[in-house]
Amino acid sequence: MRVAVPVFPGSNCDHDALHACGVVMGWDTYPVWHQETQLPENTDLVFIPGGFSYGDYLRCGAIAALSPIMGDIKRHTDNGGLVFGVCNGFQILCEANLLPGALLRNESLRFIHQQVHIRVERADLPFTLAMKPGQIMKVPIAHAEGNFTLDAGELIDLEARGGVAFRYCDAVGQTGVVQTPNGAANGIAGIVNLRGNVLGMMPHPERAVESEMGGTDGLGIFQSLASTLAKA
Amino acid sequence: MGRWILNAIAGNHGDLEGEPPFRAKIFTMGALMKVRVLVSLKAGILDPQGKAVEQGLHGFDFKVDHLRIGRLIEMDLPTHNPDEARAQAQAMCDKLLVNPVMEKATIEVL
Repeated sequence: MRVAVPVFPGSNCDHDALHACGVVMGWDTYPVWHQETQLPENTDLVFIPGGFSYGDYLRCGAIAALSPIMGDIKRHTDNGGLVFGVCNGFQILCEANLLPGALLRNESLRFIHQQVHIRVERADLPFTLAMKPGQIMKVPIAHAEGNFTLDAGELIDLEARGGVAFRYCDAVGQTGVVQTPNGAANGIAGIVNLRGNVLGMMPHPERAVESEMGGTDGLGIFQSLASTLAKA
Repeated sequence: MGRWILNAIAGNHGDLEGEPPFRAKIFTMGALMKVRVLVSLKAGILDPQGKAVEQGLHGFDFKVDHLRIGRLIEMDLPTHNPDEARAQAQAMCDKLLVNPVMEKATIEVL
């Protein structure tokens, strides 16, 4: 299992990603500076980390989406390679048109950092197959722009094709406006592309992989990725 | 300043390469148009920032409704042709300045 973690100026969760993949999972993990034009050879997974790439100037993720390394990440995606974007990584994937929609300012206008619950809506993805449909994960969020938006027609299409991978919920799995911390449409916390190889989510599963971190629910995603690649 | 202009005319800018005032000077010696791009949120997209400012104004007893906040981008483009300037600005909007999921742009050539 070889993981590339692209690092942009302003990325600040890159070490969380490197730790989760490299230390906790023991995968072959490489940071890749955004000005590189090629991912390491035989990269299985690209983990786009959270942070404030380019200071969130213009729009979150907009400038990072034009970085030199993004060309090779698109090629990797076209070849069916796995791409996982967390928080700012999700914003970058939307800005790069690898995922639909956009992340707007939280409805409350505030930066929110707290533990939330999310419900697994798709347990058949390379990122989730070790989990059960409807499984509830407790994971942290930390963002000011996590309010997922898509125009009404496209939102219906996204739901109809099962593009929603995770939805905010409460401890017993109930979803709704109250359970959605940031105002995201339909309580969407994470989405997947049509092909199922690009996943973006606002919560940070890589910050919930050791009991010292306050929880290990995030491991479900990493274990899923491990079994996906063991099969390949 | 005088030396920069002389150097620019002579086409000799090796020793001053990278100094922004020098580059700006060269640029203004060519043809130039000022372009404004106004980026605003599409109708129906929630604007929490606009809402907060509107409420702030209500606090001062201003009667105001539907306040929306956008972004103004101004730039100089090296052309004399307004159509060319507009086409350039439109290409920039498509490539980077606007996210069509949530924003729309109005281009003004000055």
